[in-house]
Amino acid sequence: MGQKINPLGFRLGTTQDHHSLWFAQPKNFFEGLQEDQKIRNCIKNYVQKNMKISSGVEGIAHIEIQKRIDVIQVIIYLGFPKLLIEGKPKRIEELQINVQKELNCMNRKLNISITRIENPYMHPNVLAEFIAGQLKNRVSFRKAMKKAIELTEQSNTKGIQVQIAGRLDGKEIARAEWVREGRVPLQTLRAKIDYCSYTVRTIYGVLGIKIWIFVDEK
Amino acid sequence: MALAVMKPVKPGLEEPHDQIHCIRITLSSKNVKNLEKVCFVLIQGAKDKSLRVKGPVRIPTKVLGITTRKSPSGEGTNTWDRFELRIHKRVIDLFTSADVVKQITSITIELGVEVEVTIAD
Repeated sequence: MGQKINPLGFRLGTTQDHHSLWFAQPKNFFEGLQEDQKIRNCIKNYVQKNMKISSGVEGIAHIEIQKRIDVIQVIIYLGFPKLLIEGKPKRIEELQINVQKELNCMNRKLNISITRIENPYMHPNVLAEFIAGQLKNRVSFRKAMKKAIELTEQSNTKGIQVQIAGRLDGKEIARAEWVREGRVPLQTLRAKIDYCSYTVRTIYGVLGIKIWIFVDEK
Repeated sequence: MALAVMKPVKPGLEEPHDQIHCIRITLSSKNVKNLEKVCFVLIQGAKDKSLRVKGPVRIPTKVLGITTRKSPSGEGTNTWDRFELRIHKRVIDLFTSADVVKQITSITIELGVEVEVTIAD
């Protein structure tokens, strides 16, 4: 029948906040957007590169960007900040330098700060990366899904739904499988639902992971 | 009509800085709450210094719409997504000298609100 609208976009007016907090006139909007895109990509690539070396789950939940007249403030919400904080001053400064090179703008200072999230497995992005890691290691997808749900049950969420689509177990015919625990009321606007869609590249092709987590109801 | 007295005139010393300009502050934002906060703070600040203020004039909100097909292919019922971005704008007029304005505007900075100050003579 119908198709599902992205629950984040659906709730922007009510229970969901924007992750980029700045204003620009319509004429100059695209510059701001492109900057944002560059910053986010830069950070994600950097984190992925370094994680390969030290092999762990990164767990970027989301990246908040605030732009004022003279400063760009970037706040990274990390689930496992060890990897960026252990080599403390080095890593964050390296990041800053990298991002500034990408941006090529000298009139604004760049400020990167890292916030730790409690219950990292309550955020769909972190969970999705976890599942992706498992799938790449050729774990059976059902096990991966169940493990993910177990992890979430430790932190108190009222409901979770995980969907994996694509060539499951490397079979020729692609299909989509999903598992749900608790309740996930997608139609209820006042229900705070966190959503993430993530792609994994396997040798057989691309698998899409979608995770809905029902956090709270006002 | 008696105009409100803005500042006590110093006897004999009339500095050129005290020339009264008509200063227009334009605030724009996507977010009504923050915008109204900033408006309120600005007007409070101006009233504390007993300046003549023309209250926040609410310019009609601009609704920028983008209408796209939902489907990646041409097949199916032609369903459309209607995205919109609402820009709210407020205008505040002050009658003072330039330095006082700098004081007022430097204090209040709220995220996501753009402030433009022009001096019109």
